[in-house]
Amino acid sequence: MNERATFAAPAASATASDADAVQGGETVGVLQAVRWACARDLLLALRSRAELALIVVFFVLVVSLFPLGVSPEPQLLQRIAPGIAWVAALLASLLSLPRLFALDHADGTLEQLVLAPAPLPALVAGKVLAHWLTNGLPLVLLAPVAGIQFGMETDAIATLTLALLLGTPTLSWLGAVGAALTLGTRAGSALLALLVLPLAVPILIFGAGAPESVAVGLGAQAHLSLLGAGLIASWVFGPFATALAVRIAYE
Amino acid sequence: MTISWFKYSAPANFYPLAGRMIPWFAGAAVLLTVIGMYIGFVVAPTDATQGEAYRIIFIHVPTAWMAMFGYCVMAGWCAASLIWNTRLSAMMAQALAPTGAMFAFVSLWTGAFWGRPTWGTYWVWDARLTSTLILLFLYLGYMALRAAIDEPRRADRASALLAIVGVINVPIIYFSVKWWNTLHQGATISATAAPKMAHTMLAAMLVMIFAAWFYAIAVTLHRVRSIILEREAHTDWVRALATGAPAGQAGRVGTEASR
Amino acid sequence: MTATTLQASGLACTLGTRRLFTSLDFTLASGQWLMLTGANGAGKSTLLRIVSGLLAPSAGEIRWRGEVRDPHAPRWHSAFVYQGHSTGWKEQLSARENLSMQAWLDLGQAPLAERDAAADRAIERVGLVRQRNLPFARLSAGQRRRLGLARLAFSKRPLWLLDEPTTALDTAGQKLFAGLLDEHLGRGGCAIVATHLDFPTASPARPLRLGEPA
Repeated sequence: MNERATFAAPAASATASDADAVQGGETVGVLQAVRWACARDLLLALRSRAELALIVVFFVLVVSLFPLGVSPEPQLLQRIAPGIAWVAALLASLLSLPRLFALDHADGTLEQLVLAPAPLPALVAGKVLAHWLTNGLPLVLLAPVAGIQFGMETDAIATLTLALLLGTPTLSWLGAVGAALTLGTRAGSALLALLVLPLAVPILIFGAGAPESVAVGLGAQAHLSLLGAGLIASWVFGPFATALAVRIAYE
Repeated sequence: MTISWFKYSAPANFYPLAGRMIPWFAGAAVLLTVIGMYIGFVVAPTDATQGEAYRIIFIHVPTAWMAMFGYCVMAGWCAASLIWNTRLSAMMAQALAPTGAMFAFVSLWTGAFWGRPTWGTYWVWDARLTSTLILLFLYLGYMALRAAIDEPRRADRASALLAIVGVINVPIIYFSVKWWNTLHQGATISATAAPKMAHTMLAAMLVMIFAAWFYAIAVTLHRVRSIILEREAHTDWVRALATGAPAGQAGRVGTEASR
Repeated sequence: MTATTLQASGLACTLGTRRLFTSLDFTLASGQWLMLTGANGAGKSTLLRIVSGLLAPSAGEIRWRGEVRDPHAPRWHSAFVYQGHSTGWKEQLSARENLSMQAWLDLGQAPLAERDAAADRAIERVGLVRQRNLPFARLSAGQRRRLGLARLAFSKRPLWLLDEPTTALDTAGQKLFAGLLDEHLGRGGCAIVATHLDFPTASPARPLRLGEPA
């Protein structure tokens, strides 16, 4: 088993290459870290497929509750559809958020990620990306179904889908910060909801406002631009804020 | 005599200073409240359109303003505690939160009492009331997160990060709620549009704002003293205080690490 | 020579209102290991977490090879292996998959074939060959610990920070750990091991005992 490097430098040469051998493993770059963390989480999600399906079912269930609780009158439903779709998406996201960090925290793997030779914001970004792919994207794909259920016009449905596409990744980041902050606390998902939902209000307003605006005949340019700006801002700042929150959780 | 401000960033040195400041701020708050209430409820004229009910504005507006201002100040303390890793900044934020939440709550209630006689309904979803409601949730979230984490320094840092994320979002939230409100103009009425202000009304408003401010300072200082005692219970000076040792010993703590 | 030295000076830590230690100093040179002992709650795990950088001390500094280390830098993280109380593996993956995934971080992003080979060798070394494709959830506590040893077996990092590494290990497992430790020290590595169990190592320990919490 001599292929492993020795740590003691041979007496003859004390050059930089020996220092490297003693130094230990290399560090990982940003993009590779993102890819690795994303692939890891996707693999783990694949092994727990049943739980993923639950989120989707939950969304459809919540959306279906509203006509039952309000009224099946088509005109009314058509008007409130965007709001309902968004509220259901918010609640479904909340449901899935604890799984982002809590599972890794419980079995000690998150600790190892914090101590990994890779930039923590990059690892976190990979995790959030995987989380969005498995929890946010299905909601985006389901939006047209909800739209049809509520009798929305085609262009409104398209706008709703686009709004969800732009807004759900931002939601993922808000949720990620919240999930990291509540790591290790005994409080349940109610605390996470209290932390995340108020911050998600702007996304809700612009996200639901976009299809409403289109349905009335005005454009949704402004709404979608703002959602896009939020998307960019959250992906720029989110990794650092979340990495800080994760580190705080381990103090 | 030069004042070394840095010296007061140690809880042990701030504790007696806070104690000395409280009576001044409390007294000023009481005085200003009396003056403000007098001007507002007695001197200021009856409003042409809203009658006597408008007078609640003298409580509603100062509390709403203090709730917002308080959150910004709290976030400032939180930022300081994260940047310079000081305990006292975090304790100040911890002390300020309940007062800020109370102001937000009172603002919502007085808004409701104003709305009822004026517009016939207790609650309207206008921009400011809705924003204040969300602000209340932000305060409650801060306090709930603090309460959920056992270790005090970790609770400090986690809630500090939350408050900073919150304060960045507050203008965004306010802007989006305002947009949402103007879009649905037909359905809602602005219950918080201030009546055209006579000079006396303005004076009363300003006095009450300062009264609320000084009240907040006095209460926060008082609360932070309790927090200091609770969290520094293991230090020598607190033990000396508890056992009634001579006052001179309480000051000898200067070199304790501020982490 | 300054290679592989760890130096801590003036470390202090206060958790909540408990003062764990107020002025702790120690040094560790290449080939040495520190045996951290103390009563429960004395701060052994906390000290390991401070050295690893997870926790910041209230005072003091830690130097690695003469320079003050940045606790969050990936460079620093690549210098040590930390194993805490949790086993740090995913339940949904098998032993082999877990190791292979960890190898990506530990072995400098080696290609898949090389990682799998390293994982296989390590598994063989620690005697988990028959269990390697079982879901991790099915392994016993002792077998899970052995997987941790497997990670030590293929790691090339100079510093080991281990918190009770022999818990749940049977005699053969303890011998295995001792052998790994001796090899590591022989190659010039160093280690801090918190433990209150003895294991049959050939290398003399430098003891560090933490006192009662204040």
